[in-house]
Amino acid sequence: MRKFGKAFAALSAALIATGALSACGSDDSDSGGSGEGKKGGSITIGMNSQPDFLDPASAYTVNAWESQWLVYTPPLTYARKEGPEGTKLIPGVAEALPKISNGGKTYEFTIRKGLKYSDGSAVKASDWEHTVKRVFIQESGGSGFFSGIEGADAYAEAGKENGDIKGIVTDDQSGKVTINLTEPDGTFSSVLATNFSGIVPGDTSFEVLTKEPPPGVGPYKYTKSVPNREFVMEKNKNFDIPDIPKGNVDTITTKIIKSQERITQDVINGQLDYSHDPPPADLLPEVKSKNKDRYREFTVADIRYFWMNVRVPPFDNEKVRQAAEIAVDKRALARIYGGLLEPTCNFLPSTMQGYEKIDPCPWGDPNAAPDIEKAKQLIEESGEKGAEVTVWGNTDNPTPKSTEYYADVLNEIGLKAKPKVVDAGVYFSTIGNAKTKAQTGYAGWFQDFPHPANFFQIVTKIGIQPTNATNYGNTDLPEVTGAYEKLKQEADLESVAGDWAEADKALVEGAGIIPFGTAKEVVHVSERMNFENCAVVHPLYKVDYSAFCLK
Amino acid sequence: MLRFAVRRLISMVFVLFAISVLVFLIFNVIPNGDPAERLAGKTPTETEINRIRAEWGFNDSLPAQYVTTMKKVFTGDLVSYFTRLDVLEEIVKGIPRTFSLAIGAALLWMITAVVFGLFSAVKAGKFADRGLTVLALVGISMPVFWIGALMNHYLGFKAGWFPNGGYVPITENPFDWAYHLILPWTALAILFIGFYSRVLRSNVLDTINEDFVRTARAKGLSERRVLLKHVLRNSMIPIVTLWGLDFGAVVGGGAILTETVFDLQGVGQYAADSIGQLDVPPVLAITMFGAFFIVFLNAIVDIAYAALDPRIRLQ
Amino acid sequence: MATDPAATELSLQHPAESVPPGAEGGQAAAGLSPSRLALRRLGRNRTAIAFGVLFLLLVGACLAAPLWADHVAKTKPETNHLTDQIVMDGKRVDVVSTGGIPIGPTWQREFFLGADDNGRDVMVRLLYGGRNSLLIGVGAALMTTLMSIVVGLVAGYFRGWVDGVIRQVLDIIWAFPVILLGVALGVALALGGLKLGPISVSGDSILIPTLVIAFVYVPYMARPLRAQVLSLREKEFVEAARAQGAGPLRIMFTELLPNLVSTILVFFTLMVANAILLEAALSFLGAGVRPPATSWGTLIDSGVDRITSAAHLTIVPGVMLLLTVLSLNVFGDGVRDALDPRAKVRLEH
Repeated sequence: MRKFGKAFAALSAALIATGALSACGSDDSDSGGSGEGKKGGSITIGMNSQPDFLDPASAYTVNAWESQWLVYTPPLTYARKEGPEGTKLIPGVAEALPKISNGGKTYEFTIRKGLKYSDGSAVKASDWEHTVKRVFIQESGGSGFFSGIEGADAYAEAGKENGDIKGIVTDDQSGKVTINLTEPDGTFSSVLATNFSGIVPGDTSFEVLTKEPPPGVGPYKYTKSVPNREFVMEKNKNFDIPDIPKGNVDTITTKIIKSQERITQDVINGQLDYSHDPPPADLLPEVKSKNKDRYREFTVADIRYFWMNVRVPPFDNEKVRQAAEIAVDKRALARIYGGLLEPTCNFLPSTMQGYEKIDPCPWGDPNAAPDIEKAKQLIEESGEKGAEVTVWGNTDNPTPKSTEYYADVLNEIGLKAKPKVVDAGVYFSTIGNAKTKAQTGYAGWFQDFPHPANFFQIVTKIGIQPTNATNYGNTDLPEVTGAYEKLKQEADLESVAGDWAEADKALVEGAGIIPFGTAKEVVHVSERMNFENCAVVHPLYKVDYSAFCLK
Repeated sequence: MLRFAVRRLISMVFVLFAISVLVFLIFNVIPNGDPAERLAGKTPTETEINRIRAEWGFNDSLPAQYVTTMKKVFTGDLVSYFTRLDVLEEIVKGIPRTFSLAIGAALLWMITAVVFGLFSAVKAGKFADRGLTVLALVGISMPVFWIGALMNHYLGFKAGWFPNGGYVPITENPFDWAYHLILPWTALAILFIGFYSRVLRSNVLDTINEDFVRTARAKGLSERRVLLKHVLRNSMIPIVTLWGLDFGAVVGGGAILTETVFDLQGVGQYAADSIGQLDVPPVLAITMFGAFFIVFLNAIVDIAYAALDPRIRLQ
Repeated sequence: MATDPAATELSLQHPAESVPPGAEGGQAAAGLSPSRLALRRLGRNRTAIAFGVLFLLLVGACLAAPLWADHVAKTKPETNHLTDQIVMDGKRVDVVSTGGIPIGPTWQREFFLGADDNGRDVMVRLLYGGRNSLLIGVGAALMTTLMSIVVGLVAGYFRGWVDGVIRQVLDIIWAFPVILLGVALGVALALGGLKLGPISVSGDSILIPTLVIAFVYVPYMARPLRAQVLSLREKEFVEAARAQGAGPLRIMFTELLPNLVSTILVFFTLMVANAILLEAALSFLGAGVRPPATSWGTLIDSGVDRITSAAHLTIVPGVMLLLTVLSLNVFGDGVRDALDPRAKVRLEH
């Protein structure tokens, strides 16, 4: 997902439209409660960087989506529950889940009757086509999700706002929306649930409206937006959709405070009510000890890893890759993450369906000391001893430290490695450019939707591109790619979960990538917030603001 | 006099032009990167990249690109590569913060420096003088971000005597505004107090022996009047010119460090964030703004000096 | 932190060419050269000497970094010890706890001043970092001095359009906000390195911050030197040399340059102090020394991130920096006093 990588669209992956029941993955600790609590009041949230956009057509970061999903309801949405329950698709502004016909190429849904936007205007079926058009005109990162629609590419090429997308047919009288795809796409229901599908009025301007976000259908509406300072959401009285909570608190103000230290200190002191990002490692001990009655950790579906470029020496040599796999000590990285990292041997995160713990791990137990001598020996055998390596990382904490650690490890086993830390804003486009010939470095991936295909695309041929690649290591193991291409066609995920697990194992055994852990997210709230009942987390959207309530 | 002023202003315009060219070159020629690719970070296709190139004019020659960008600076049309936010608007939001920091610190350092310097001069050679000299030297030997970070942590967070960084607009609450700025003002001022107090001290020591002072004393004026009316006034002239230049330098760019440490979200911090991302439009605009300030103040100081001393004009 | 010696160029009324007449009457008559006199005055200034010695000790300690690393701490500055343990008071202690907190000063041979986030030895990094800070500081000051001498001599001697052009260029660099220029150049050069024809410098080399700092400070020194040359060239001894047929180069280097020495010396100590501080500032903003190399500035930068749980990471490098720059400043003050006890304005920053 956006935060650490990019989604690559135009997949014909399979995703159950009628409920993705991702199994397993123990979600640690107590649940966040029911979300039922005292109504009213206002709270302030601290966020350490400005959301990329507050316009649903372009917004593509966790920062943005966390507030956006309460303001813009798409035709489909996810159940507001913790754990696997929260990955279930439920109807949003549509009356019911879509009718799929024509061999998976046609999707039909009907907008609920009598729906109103936050400004009181009526919701029309044709508004949804306008919503999609805005995604294309803004050249949004979400464009790729919709390019499977007939006529969408033509519309995007022409670039004319008032053009027509042939494949979307709407009828305002009946409220029906019919979408024709060029090919069957099992993930399209998830696309209908992404934030990009969040419906906005048909007369909304095509410009990026971060400073004045358009009205939407949702429990809250934006009433103020000053980029890099703050934005404010207030309860939307016009909202009423079954199964979507109406929210407890009246006003939510999000302040952009660039220093995470300050945000956490303010939550400790009660000057802020919630911190969007985890406490910095520096303050974690204090928070864990002093605030344990309003702090909890939970695992999310992401994976942090080091990629190794198989097209460039020395990582084109299998023994070098194996040596690196063995030598990386995931316990050390867990410390760099201040303990907010779960070491892993697998590539798929533990909360995802398709995850089966690889035990024993071919490269050594992730929670034990690595066999450095074996790694050194492999380097000797490879003939690449002393090879110069540049280790890439970006400036987002704690990546500079993990990058320096990784470089040091490579030096220890006999290579000549130097870290190279680049600003986060330009990092991914730099390593994703084949011309850079980046040898190895850090990357992370957070799910766009809860399906293994969404992860595997970054370790197969699909992710290999001359620019803006997502498969930084150019990994292309035949076993893995083969499994991916076969399995993504299958609509019933549960039946092939075991096969996905096999692919995971093949990837790890083939030394295609060095996954080192899944990051843990944190809920940390102030004294005045009701922590037992109202701190509900969600597998996709981190924390559910509509559940927040005061004591 | 007028000719001198006009000459200085023309020189000022030329300098600003040269600076804008320099910034533009620094970011476009040196990194050897393709800004279109960086911009297209979210939309991967080749067609997108080409479209971005056409829209932003990356296909044009460098001089043409320069002209387009500069036009945008003056028409207020400049938009950041990454956030798509209007650059000038962001700068305008940051200006009150940077100015609050600079003006407050400048006044603080000036007043403190005069007091210390005068006191030092009067007690020249004695223990108090030596003590203050040591303090002054320590002040100019410390990195401002280090002392700022320490003050912020120990006095702000730990002791809770002061707020923990951040900025409150004066329109919201003047007391809170000042309260939040006390630590930043002090951190920034420490550096300059050291220097200015010593300059003042040596100027005072020199002036104190001049004839006109002896005459004043002979006329029966009290020591205090002599000090304040005659000695201080004369010693202040070079100080004031230095002050003008330093104030310009702080607004122009020296405030970056203090703003970053205390999270004031002023123009300096905006510049620091943008530079790291190689986001050219904000950096260009802010550098022009900073340079303009420095050059403008330089010119004012020079003109004022020339008005006082005709010999300078001939240089 | 940028104060303008240009203002001093207006009030610098006499070049430090020799001992002011009548000042040291008897000794002047006895024939002691000005430099000997200056040395004597310096020698009598005990504070300056003490701080000068302190500076040399600090420099020595930093240069001896490999000795400490290899024989006392037994580790290199980049070596991570994240999962290691050491023995303290008979107990085994994690160098970095599972929560990521590094230990503080142990006052033992290993981790004398504690560890950093990656389990690296702070004392070792402090000394190695000091080496870089000092190298950059002195290196940049030397480069600035050389460039300023050339620029000042050429502009002051030839005057006319040459002077005009040089002054304009100096004005441009001068007007550019120092930190912004330093950060912009630092960041831009770090990405791709510097390529000037056949010469290619990697983006990670410490030569980059050195060059950037040297470049930024040229106007500070060149302008006063130029002013001095302007007034010197009117003196009789220059006239005399010209009458004897000496060419411009000879005059510049044999007649003018020696008279600039005291100004140069005074400025040089200032420049070193300022360069060290500027390097720290640039590194703090991420535009100076790049990893894995370290400097006091990068140490403070990463230390501040840990100020709550491991304050020693911020305090230690800052104190080292302070002591070094302070000793330079005090010693520099002493040099100034010794060279010209009656200089009207103290040329300091």
